[in-house]
Amino acid sequence: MLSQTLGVAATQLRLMWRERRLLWLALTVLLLAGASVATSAARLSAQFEERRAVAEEEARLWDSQGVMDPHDAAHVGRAVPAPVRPLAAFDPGLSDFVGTSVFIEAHAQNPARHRPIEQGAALSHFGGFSAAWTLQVVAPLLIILAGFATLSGEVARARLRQELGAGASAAALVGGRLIALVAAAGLLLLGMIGVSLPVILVQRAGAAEVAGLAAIGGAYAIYLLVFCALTVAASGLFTSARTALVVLLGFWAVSTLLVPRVAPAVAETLAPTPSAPAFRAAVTEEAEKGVDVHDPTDEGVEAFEAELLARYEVSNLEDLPINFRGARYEYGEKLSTDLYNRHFDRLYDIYERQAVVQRAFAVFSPTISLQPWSRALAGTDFGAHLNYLRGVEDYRYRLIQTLNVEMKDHKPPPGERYYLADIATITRHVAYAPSQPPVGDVAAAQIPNLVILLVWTVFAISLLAVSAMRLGRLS
Amino acid sequence: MSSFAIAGYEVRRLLRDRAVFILLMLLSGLSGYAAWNGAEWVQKRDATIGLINAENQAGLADRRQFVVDSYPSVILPITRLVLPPGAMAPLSVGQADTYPFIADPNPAGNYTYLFRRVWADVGSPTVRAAGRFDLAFVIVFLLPLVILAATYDLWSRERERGVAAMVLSQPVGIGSLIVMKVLARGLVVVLPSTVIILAVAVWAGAREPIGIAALALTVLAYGGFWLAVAVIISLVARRSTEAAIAAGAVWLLVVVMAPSLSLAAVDLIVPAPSDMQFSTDLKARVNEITKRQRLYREANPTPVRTPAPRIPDSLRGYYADLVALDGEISPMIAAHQEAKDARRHVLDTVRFLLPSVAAQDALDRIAGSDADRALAFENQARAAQLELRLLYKSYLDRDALITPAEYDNVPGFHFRESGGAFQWGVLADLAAVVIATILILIAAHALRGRAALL
Repeated sequence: MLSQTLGVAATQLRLMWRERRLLWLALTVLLLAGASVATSAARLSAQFEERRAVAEEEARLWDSQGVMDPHDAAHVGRAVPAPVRPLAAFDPGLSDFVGTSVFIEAHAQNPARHRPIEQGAALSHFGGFSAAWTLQVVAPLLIILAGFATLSGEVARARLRQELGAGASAAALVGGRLIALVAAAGLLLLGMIGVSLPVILVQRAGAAEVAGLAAIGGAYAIYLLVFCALTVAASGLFTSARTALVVLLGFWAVSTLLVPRVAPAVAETLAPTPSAPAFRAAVTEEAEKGVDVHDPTDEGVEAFEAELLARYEVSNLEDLPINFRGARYEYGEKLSTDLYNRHFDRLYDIYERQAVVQRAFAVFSPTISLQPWSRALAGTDFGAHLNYLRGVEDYRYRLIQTLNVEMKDHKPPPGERYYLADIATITRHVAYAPSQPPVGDVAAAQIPNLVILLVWTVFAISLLAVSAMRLGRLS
Repeated sequence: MSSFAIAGYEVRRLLRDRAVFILLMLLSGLSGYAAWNGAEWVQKRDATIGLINAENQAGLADRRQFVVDSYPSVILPITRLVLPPGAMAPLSVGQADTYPFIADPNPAGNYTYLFRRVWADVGSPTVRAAGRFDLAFVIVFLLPLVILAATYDLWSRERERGVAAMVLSQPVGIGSLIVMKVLARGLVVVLPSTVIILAVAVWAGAREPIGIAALALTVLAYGGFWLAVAVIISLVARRSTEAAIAAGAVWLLVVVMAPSLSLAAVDLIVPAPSDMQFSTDLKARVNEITKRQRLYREANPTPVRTPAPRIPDSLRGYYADLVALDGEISPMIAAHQEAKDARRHVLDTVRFLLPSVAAQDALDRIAGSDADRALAFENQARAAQLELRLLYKSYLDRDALITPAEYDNVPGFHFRESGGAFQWGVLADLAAVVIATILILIAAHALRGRAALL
């Protein structure tokens, strides 16, 4: 049985090899994808240098403020660029659609700005070519074109009858064709990974990125297996090659092009995100109801003052052992940070609800479950961006509160209104250290998508079995 | 056999073909959903603008109180400026999500203030990355699939069924035969598709007559291009399966691969200037200038005037510093803007080589969601900021406080449309699509002999 299956697979591979047009098409696609990885890597390298230079310049500007009121420094703020992900050369994911730097300052959490997608033209609608996109969209098409007539059509049916008549089992004939198609698709996948690996290694990639690429490769292998199995199954189920082709092309168009576009649109309808001004207005409205630490006559400030006076058992601010202005700003920063966190968490909850709605569309398309896996492991999904945003927010809070605490701990010199300090010195120990979650954690968060892909595999193999059973009846 | 007889036969055959009906129904459903999405986007944008206008009114009232109280400053009726959606906006979201549509023209702010506080997109990046499912997407991406699905076997079907020889034995030229067959498909597929798209566009709120005419022309021109593609495929492909594969490959090439690779090439050859780098460099320069100005002011304090002016001299000093600052940073801003314009010019030029991009561009322009309209808004907002500055300066120079009547009579901002549905850009796009179609038809004419090969 096994030798029969392998024999059929070898024959099919020979037939595919003879069909040079598809081979050339596959090689062209591989070449284009390779070029895409190389050019993306060059772009990422330039981005890395640019962001390093920006970070250095921002640090220089911050440190050059000299001796001044710490709260003024908190308002000057600084920009923190996003880290560059080496695997973005393989799967850019959302890289062009999320901001690349966050401007941090006192009292506010700003959204990330400078999205690469901004300031484009009509051609910008058509971006997104990458090695990942090639494997998600073009590779399934090549599989369909290579395999739709493997069991359907007059020639293939006649050959099939002869093979069955010669004693071959339908399972071996179907299995052999599947193995041949999987081998061809596997070669394309290996070629794509093989092209990407050295380029990514040059991009300061570490073990985490290599492990990520391996996990991505595994998921793509499953994805392509689904298309291989569906192609051979459809080829066996439909007598006419034309019908098999139309059905498979229809499935390809729906699953790789239409559903990935419709699912986010439906998700946006069911869980709409607010516009930026609406989001800002909601934050401002709540902030206006809260404490305005810049206004000493604000009710909240007066209550805080009273609480502080009671805590230190003194009757006026001058008798406090601390600088009340610093304490007020420290208190206000805590309140405004909580406020922004609440609003941003609500916004991220909407994104999460949208992701759940989109995942439901995986019923129609395996691409829907592959995309998030690929992006997450490449570090180019929203989770990775959120990790950056939270890291920056943590840094912002520590930096601003360091300035506030410094002020709180130092009363102004006699006769002076404000306490002044050298900003570089007092904030030297506060650093931004970007972190990346372990690959295992990222993969664990994507388990539902992997499970959906496996369900698709089971479905495709089952369809293949049905196809083999029906073909068996031909004998 | 007359040409009309062939066309009549083709039309009857197509009308009996259930597949064509199903395809048109599918297109209706998808177009309806896309139009609804477009209408929803417009509604959301209008609601946002309504929110801004309400905040503007509240701000105006607050500031007016300072005017009534004769506050010693220049209090102008400053409102945030908005770019409203175009009359045909439900058609295409285009570039509207990637350019600012709100501006803060505060005359006391420098260049960076115009969009600094008012522009940030908090929309889901996943949704943005997938692209909007609007009518433009249906027209540019899906309509060609519908046309190709209904026309890919234009001649190969006759060849396969063995009736091609019989048809060619009739007194009819192969050229006119193919032309009639393709015109019949145009009549049964492209024309109803155009009607469907126009109907859903009107239903979604796109009701400008000239815009509807421009939309109809764009759909017909783009549909014509794909019919021409079907003609050449039918001449080259011998079998329907081959024709289907060729049609799919051409669609993938024209709609997906060629634009995507062109964009990648533009990114490589003319990369976008870094806004992040510019922002930091500008900040450094502004810091340097303001520090110098501050030191100068500390060393050279403004003499105290007697009697004291109504508007404090500190404001005049601030204004002078602001103007000087803008003068010093303007070369830097101009250089960055020039680099951005150069890249945009390349992107705009490349579109003429790609019919799908030209069609998308035409639809964006008709909808008023194109980059040029957004840039016109930016320029008008900047001009409005400069006008306010001049007004600000006139009060400083006259040392006069603005009166409530003057405050109420300062003209508001209204975006001035510069083109219209048949603006130069749309005509150029249509010309590009028509030229591409003519070139394909010339190639088809040269290959017409192949149709006779059975």
